Amino acid sequence: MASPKNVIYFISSPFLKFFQQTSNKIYGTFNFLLTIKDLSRENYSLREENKNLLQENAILKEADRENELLRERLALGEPIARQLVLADVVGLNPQLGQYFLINKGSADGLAPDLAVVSANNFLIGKVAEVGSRSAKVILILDSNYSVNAITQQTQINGIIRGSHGLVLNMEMIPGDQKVDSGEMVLTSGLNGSIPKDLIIGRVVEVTKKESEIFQKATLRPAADFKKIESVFIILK
Amino acid sequence: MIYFAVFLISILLAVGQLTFFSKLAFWAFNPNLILAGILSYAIFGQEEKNQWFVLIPALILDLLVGRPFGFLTLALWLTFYLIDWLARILFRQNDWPAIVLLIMSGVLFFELSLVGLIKLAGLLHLINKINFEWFYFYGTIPLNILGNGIFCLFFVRLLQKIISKKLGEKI
Repeated sequence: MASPKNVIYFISSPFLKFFQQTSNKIYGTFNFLLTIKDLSRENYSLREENKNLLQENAILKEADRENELLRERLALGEPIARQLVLADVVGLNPQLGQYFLINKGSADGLAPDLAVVSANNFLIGKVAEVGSRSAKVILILDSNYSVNAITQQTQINGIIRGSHGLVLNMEMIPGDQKVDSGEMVLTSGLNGSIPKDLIIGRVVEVTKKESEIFQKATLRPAADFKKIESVFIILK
Repeated sequence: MIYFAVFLISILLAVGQLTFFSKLAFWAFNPNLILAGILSYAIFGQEEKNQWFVLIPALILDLLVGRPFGFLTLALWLTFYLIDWLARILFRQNDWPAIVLLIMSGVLFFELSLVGLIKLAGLLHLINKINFEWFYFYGTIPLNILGNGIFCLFFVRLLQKIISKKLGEKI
């Protein structure tokens, strides 16, 4: 089965590359024209967020420096660097599941279940199927994808599940725990193949019913899936 | 030569679906050009239909993105035969209400047959179990009927023009 797939992919790949690049340019232009009226407000909110992030960045740099110093003193050695493979997104198939088609495969070291991230360390999904020169990536927005997660500040565990490519839900949150709206959610590393501390999204709304043991949170994904052109696959 | 043309058109449709038209996906609607093309061929092709004109595009899309492989092809093939039979037996007059009804039936049957095949494969442990939420049935499927129905109408109109030009040339 692998050979016909590889042959069809090989024949389609020039068209896929050309059409994807053209559609990204057209989509970018249309998106700009449609959102132009919101640019001023977005600009203001981004400036405010940037000021907060500068302050946070300064604190984190200090913490990083202290971390390095302590690692040195305790002879813990350098943290293990991740090995990454860069791939281009050549197609998106939302038919019966949310999948990307990427232009790297087993010949580049890819294997099923490897984590796929964007340049900002946002979790995109995982490798579902691998050909010799292409692979399918199941997105975190897919209803059949789930990953263990943890909230950044309150350190509450839960399971992230996609919902028909529309939103992310964080489920199995203990009912007695308080999750704050606006909190970042990261991977917990409890899934063997998905490393910890990959950014999933931000909590938008928390739903709690009196009769239920667990509560549920709705997340806005960190990554903008329609604009992604390249991804990184984290090799084991 | 005709088979090469079908092969090339199928590649272009599949690639277009994965690139340009995937950007048109909104809420839960997923554009499916291959389904639209096959349905329009079932509704408006000549009496004797060549099943390779259905299998080639279906297999190409399935090989590119089908997961699990084979289910898309089977669902498209079954849909084609059902709609072809309905178009010949029940809706002979081929006016616009009949065409719209055939298109809606075709998209609905395709979606449900895909779900059925996947559920069956999950029960037989051929693939990992895939769960469908209720939203898929009351949200995704109606949106797909509307959206892919519009694409199909476009293809039907295109086929109508091609066939009437050919008939015009013969006369």
